[in-house]
Amino acid sequence: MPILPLAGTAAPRGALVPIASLVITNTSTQQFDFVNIPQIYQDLRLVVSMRNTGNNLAEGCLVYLNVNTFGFGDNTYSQTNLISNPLTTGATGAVTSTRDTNPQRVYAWGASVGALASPNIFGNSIFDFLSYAGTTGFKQTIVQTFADTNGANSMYMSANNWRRTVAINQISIFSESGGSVFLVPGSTATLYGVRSVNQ
Amino acid sequence: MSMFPIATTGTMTGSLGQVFFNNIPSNFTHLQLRVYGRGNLSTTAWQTSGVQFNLDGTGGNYNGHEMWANGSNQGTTSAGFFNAWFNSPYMPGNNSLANTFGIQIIDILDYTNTNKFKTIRAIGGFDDNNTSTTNQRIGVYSGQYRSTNAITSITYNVAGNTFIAGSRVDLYGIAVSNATGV
Repeated sequence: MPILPLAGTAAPRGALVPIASLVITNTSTQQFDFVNIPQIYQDLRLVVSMRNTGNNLAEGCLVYLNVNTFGFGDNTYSQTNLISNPLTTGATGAVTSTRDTNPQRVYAWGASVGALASPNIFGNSIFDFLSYAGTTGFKQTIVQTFADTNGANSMYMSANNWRRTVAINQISIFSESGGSVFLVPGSTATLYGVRSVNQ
Repeated sequence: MSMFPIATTGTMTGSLGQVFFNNIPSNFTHLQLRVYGRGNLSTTAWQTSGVQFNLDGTGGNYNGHEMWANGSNQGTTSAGFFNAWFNSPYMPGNNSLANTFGIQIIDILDYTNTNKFKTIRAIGGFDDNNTSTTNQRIGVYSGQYRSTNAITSITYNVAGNTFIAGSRVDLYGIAVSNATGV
């Protein structure tokens, strides 16, 4: 199979293209929604900075694909993860690996910092969806999260398999407690398209 | 910093033994490989893959280590890496759940710099909804290509096996700005 180079003499266009950026500016929002995602890119990258109003030090960030209602994901997700220094317990030196079967969504552990953390601290996560618009392979996602609350911290990565061959056209993002908490103003979510050759 | 597509295999429609990117432009600062892949190794649910530069298979020219997890255990690996290739993340093999492909994002830093050995960083893995510890893996990798030669070609190999149709490998160049600082 031939390798396809970038064709033509036109100036190269950047591959990382901002699709949409959402910022929380009020105290009554519980989710981010990206709808009608263009199907013209090769991959997607989602970058989230999140803080929630819940009585927690940190909890997970949940990403639902092609569904915008908390708790209504289908049972076709599974995940393998590596967690360092669990944030919620403050344990040090702990590294664990677990699997999450049928969690109904992509999960980023510790990526939503809660009200028990010092002010101005947000959890951060990056989600990479490769071949998101393809219709023959399942949708695998690599997730990385980073959070430090000046006393407890966590790093987390996971491989998530959404066992559906449909294209991803919608992404909704919640804090793990869903309808029980609100997103703190300043929380952001930005969606990028990654363009391949001739896209 | 901006990323630009250089070349792609496109979505593979048949078996391909390896991917070879040649005559890589030298006008970027870093490179990135993005892999959505599955191999046809039939003895296990996962299989290894590797990256080689400039067709250089000199033993000892590649070092690497991995921090990994499989849903039950976690650890680090360094001794098991080929030293004629850089080991990239695991991907599903032929015994993995159908339609499951792995993801790899591999960064190659300062690829044209003739004063440095080349540093490689990768993240990747897959889950295929199975409790066996050989049916999923997530890992972060760091490595070194022990040559000061500029990288002009990249060979990506699935350890002597072939890619399954639906796989894809894309190469990007990463440019940096001219901003300076003190």
